[in-house]
Amino acid sequence: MEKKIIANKRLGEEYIQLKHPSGLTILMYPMKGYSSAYALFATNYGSIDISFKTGEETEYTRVPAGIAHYLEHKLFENEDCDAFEKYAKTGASANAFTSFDKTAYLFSCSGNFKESLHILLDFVQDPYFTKETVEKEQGIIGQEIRMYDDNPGWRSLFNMLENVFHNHPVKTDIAGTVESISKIDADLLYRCYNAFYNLHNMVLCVAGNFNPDEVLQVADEVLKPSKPVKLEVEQIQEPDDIVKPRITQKLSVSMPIFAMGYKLQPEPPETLVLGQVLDAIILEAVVGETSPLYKKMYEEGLINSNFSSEVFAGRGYMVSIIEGESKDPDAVCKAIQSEISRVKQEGIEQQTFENIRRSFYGRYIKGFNDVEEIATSMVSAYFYGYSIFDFVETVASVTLEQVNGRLRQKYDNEKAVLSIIEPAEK
Amino acid sequence: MAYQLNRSCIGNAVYFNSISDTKFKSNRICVNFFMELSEEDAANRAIVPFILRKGCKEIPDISALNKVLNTMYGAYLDVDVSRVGPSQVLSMFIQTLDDKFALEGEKLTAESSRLLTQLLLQPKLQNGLFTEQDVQLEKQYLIDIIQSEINDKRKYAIGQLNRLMFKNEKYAIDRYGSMENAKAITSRSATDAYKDILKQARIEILFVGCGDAETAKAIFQNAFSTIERENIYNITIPEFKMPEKVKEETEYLDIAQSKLVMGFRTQSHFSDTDINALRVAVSLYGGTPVSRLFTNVREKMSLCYYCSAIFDRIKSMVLVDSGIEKDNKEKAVSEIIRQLEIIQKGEFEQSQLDETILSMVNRYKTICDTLGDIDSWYLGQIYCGESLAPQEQAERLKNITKEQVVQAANKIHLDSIYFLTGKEKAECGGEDAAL
Repeated sequence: MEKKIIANKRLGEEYIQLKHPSGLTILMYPMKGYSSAYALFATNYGSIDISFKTGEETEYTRVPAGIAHYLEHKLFENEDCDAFEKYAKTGASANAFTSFDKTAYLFSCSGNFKESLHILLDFVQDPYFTKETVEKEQGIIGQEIRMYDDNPGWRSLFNMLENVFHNHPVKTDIAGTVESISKIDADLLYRCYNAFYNLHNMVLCVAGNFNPDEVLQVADEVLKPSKPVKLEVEQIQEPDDIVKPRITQKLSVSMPIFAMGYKLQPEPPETLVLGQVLDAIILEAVVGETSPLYKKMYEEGLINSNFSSEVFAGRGYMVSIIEGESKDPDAVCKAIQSEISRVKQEGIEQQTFENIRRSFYGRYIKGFNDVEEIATSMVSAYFYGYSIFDFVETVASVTLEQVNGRLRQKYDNEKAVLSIIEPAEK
Repeated sequence: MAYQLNRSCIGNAVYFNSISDTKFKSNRICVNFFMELSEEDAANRAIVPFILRKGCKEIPDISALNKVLNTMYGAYLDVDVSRVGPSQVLSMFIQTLDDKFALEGEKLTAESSRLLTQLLLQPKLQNGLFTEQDVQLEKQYLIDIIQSEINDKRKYAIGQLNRLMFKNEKYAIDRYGSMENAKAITSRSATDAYKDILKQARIEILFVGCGDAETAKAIFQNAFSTIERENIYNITIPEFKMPEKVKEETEYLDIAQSKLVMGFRTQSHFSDTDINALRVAVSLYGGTPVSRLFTNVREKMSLCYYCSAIFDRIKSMVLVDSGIEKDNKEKAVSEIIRQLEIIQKGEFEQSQLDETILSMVNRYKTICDTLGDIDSWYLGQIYCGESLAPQEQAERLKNITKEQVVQAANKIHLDSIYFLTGKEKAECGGEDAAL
């Protein structure tokens, strides 16, 4: 078995990465002193993977929006019972999530680890979909979609993405729509399952209080060796420009909520960490809580403490997002765009950069306190080909020139989209 | 690992509590002020932590304060206003990397303790009052928060149920107070509230992490020794009230998914010897993905995306909340009540009880892996005059019997039903005819 130790001297920590004979890669991060273990069994398949071909096929198959999420719901159900009933006997707390670029099935436990891991590996490898079981889920997922339709933060984000991207599927709601999921049937679910739920396309990540030998024992017992499947996800052509710069929707909110996105060129996996760290520093310098702009907008009553920024990046997409609530989101947007122009021209100062860098250093290290955070970050790290220590190391080594260079080259006010959720008339 | 809560009195009703756990890389220090929930004073008290968060005499500028936090390796400072039983809790906390990770030997534990004492006890004042600018800004923010409750429909529905169920009782008072009282806040009233809090609040400081608690304790003891204290708030829990008639209310908004919230009163006190049986009963009812509510209302009947029950042992109440389709309201209400009756009659398998307890034990043990969870856990313990470690609480559940659970379940009585649903076009005669 190919095994490697990924270590970091600065933190004095390490984890193990190995390739199991079945084809599955397993990452293990034992943490001394902790009571719980957290395990995720994930596939490199999410809501953006809507067009693909396998094996010797020549044409791409396009599937309805929301199928990856639908599949996640259905996988919990077997012919005889569902996974939650099995976990009930071991006491583990289980869940799953579908995001844009991956789907993960997970559990957390403080006892009966081996038994819980057995359940996890077993049910994810055991698909069972029938006409009846698929139809039953329509109602539940329909409810989930409607719940999110009422969520102003969620709507604000997706309205923004819909106007940032012309074609890229990241703009479509992860769960799809009530109409798109009505087109899903058992055959389609099997097709997607067989394409993407191949062990070579998946990973098992475990962190916390567990015995690595037990992980391998269960893997040997339960994993079904699989041949790699030739799989190609269609690369959607996405132009550099945005669809339109402003979009509004009315919902019952008390004051306007907004999301502003700067469209950036997507980073390939090799430079994804660097790109994210640089963007995070740029956002902090321009609109973060130590920035002059934040103070000015706060004191003018234009924004309040519900104001934040994040870097949103994945396979084929990258957007710097600023969110908050304001009585006048257009004024906020204008102020941000002015500030971006100003800082591009004048550059971020050395002292500001060092101050921000230090805070990020501390924040990244604090992430290593948490079992769930470590386990979850190992999943993305593996799928994108980096180590979870890379963020700390990158922030320690980036330069001000790199930050200012990226700000000048990549941030363009013409590629910013403002999305507003306005209060509905009573 | 056995936890030991170290508790010492460092002033008149001022306590310093610490839990040491060397596996963490950070420390979390939280200062909590407990005051009585008062309709008149809640808003003025709620604004105080938000004003204090912005700076102090020595660092009066918010950007400068945030830069100091960055210099402390991204120390995270925040405030919170919450409700525990009949008390309003005003908190300020800071989470920092431990001293051993500081690259230049900075004493982060001491620095962050000192910073908290400065923010709390040496505020930025102008002519003895909070500045007009700070008060106006934070007052607007408080008003925004109160108004924004409506943005999260699930939370809004729960808040409405609370107001319906506890009308004219203390528990109906919102943690931020009322909108009219928020609008009436002035520099004078906010400063007076601040002085009252310092004088009267029961103060509980919690230190959790791997660092040196003694250093922190000495700094807090020194700082609080200068504060005058009198009429200290004494926490008392109101008597249990049996519901007379089930109260119902329906509200209409422009929404896609309806929310059903049901409130039950429990004939219990948080210190009862059978409180654990009640906890288990509620968890069996709706606390896990194999609970009666999840399995029946969601999975079997496909009525909802979520349907769960939680128990508040201090308020002696159980809350069931669910997101459903408008037309399924009657079906959902019936089934929710029927599932409780099933438990009250003992018509459930021993295996379901065993699984519920196993799940709860698992969750209690996991608390010790997160600083924030440990902090919340012990604050709850301290409030009730207890000091059990989560692992000890887990042990106490293991011998709960079916009979005890049935007996406890029979103490749960339906009090109120609140339904939030979408607006309908005006119809003649229909039960959902417009308002």
